[in-house]
Amino acid sequence: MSWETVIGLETHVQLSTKTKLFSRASTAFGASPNTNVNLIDCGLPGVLPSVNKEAFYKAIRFGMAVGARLIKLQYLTEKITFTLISQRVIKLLKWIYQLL
Amino acid sequence: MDQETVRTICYLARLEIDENKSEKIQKDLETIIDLIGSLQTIDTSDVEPLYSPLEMTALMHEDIEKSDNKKEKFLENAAASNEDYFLVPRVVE
Amino acid sequence: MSIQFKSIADLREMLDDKSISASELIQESLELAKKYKELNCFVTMNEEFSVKKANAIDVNKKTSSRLSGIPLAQKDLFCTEGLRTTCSSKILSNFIPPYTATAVKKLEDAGSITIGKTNMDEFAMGSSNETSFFGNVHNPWKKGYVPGGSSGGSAAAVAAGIVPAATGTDTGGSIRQPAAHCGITGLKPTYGRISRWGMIAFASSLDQAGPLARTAEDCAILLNTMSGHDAKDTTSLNSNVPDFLENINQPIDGLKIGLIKEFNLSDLDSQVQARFEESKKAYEKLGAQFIEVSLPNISASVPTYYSIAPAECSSNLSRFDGVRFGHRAESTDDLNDLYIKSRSEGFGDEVKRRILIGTYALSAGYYDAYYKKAQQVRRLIKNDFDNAFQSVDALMTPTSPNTAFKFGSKGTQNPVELYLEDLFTISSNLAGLPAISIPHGQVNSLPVGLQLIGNFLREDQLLNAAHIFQKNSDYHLAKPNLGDF
Repeated sequence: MSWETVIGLETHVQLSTKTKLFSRASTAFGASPNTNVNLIDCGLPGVLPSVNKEAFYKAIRFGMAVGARLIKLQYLTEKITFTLISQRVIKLLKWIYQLL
Repeated sequence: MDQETVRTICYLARLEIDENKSEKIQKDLETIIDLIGSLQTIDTSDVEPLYSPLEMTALMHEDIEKSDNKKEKFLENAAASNEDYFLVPRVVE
Repeated sequence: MSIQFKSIADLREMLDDKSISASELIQESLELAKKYKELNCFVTMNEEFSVKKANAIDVNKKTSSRLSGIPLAQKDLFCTEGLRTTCSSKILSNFIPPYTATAVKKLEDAGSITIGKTNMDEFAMGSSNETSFFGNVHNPWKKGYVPGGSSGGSAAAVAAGIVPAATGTDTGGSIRQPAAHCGITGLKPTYGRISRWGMIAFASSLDQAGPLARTAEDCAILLNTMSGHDAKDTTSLNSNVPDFLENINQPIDGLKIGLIKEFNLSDLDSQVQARFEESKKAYEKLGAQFIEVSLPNISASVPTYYSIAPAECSSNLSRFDGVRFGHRAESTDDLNDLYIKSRSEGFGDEVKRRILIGTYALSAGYYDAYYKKAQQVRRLIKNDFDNAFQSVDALMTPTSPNTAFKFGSKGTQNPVELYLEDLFTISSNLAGLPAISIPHGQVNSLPVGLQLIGNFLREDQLLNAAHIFQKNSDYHLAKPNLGDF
């Protein structure tokens, strides 16, 4: 059997936005713990996140800069994990980049 | 669906089922899965899934800061907290 | 003069001609709630705040809004700042929201007064209000019978005349079915018509808030206030909100009503069927035409719903981990143990069952077979509706295959038995369409509901058709005998 090596890279890059990806809470450093936390970030019952437009554009720009192809996406499901900081619900979003 | 599958799903969902209820749950899940499984007879080739009744682009928020300023209220709702933090059992040894 | 069983329109008149003050009205409404405590409609009362707000309205004397001084009850899944919000679950039994849901805020800003939070099926998962942590709600028409669900407390509070109207939410029939079982009017608007901000999510692509009231006219009054775009809900519709009262009185001459071929009504209880035939005749007399339409995929609605709704629920309910809010288990070994124990102690059996189904449907290897498949069938169902609405203005069905049933008589052996209660209501949630239930008589002294499903954003047409029916009949005026409570 002959094997072909395929390596995928998952990169985590912090974007230089003023607010968070799913809320308008500040991304600034230095405040006391849990200060830059909005209702959405706290994951309270009944809240609905919205996507940061600037982060979205930056992601698209990055994708284009590295030669990625833009695809149409019907929706984005954010995984909910059982952690202190994350809560995610199903989001509608039309375009996102996919690295080739 | 066997007991092992039920245990795996329970773990993924972070739920514990009473031993004495586990057989009933398994039976219930099987019944519901049978119900859902009846969809397999419908031909859906070339049908796009409909994830939301409104097929519109969701609105996004502008990158302008707006704080809810509710830190104290958040911490008040937690079962255990101190001045700044939500308290949980030790995570790192 | 008692305020019990009065409509919003009646109460407005009494307030305006000063035959009652806002304070007296609220006081009486609160007293009725106490008098019928045994119905178990309310989880939490809002007495102190209600009295204060009513006094302020009396002092201010400015009553520009139709809702000023009107007592309302809110389903206990709308977050209300400073007022406990439980979703009728143990896991939220101590939750005090730091914010208010948009729909409730709009009603309160218009001067209405929230006298309390109503009982419901836990997390809105149920059709009989029997899954509440706070106990069963009785149907005001018959003690020991279910009020329907999940908005059972809201429906019972209106039916018992404690409040003229209440809010509810409808994911698969949770406004319309309890409205039918309690003999009142309930409207599920178009998906996106009313903001979902602050409404504790069950299945995000199906959930929609709406009013329960004694008349279609009162539903229109509430809908006028609750509707509208909200930047906080990214799926809220950015379209014009008409004045739903404006055309409510138009003649319905020539209204084309579709009857769904695939729903074989002869399978129903013969008396429920007879009520339906009678109302069809009544509509014909009012000038409506009936056309048979085919929705070939509609019978797949129930399995489609029971794949999608649990999947979305399992995702939405994973935020309940005992850390930031809600019930936390004592003496746990580590963080993971804390999540598992808090959730296992906090959720009831039906909620657990749905979380497990959803987790299974979304898990690796099954996603395509269950979740994606259901969303594909969902499109077929929506296409069927689109086709039908090419030739009709509205569709008519019974709201529920049965009248209210006895506590514990359904779904205990087989949960699917209870799921089939939602047969007629579920499809409009899948397609996002508005639908209304109006009372149209009784079978064995229990109310029966008639459902009209409308085209996208055509709540005006539904309210019009319902109002004209109510103007020409008195089914909506029937009152339960509350002697047993």
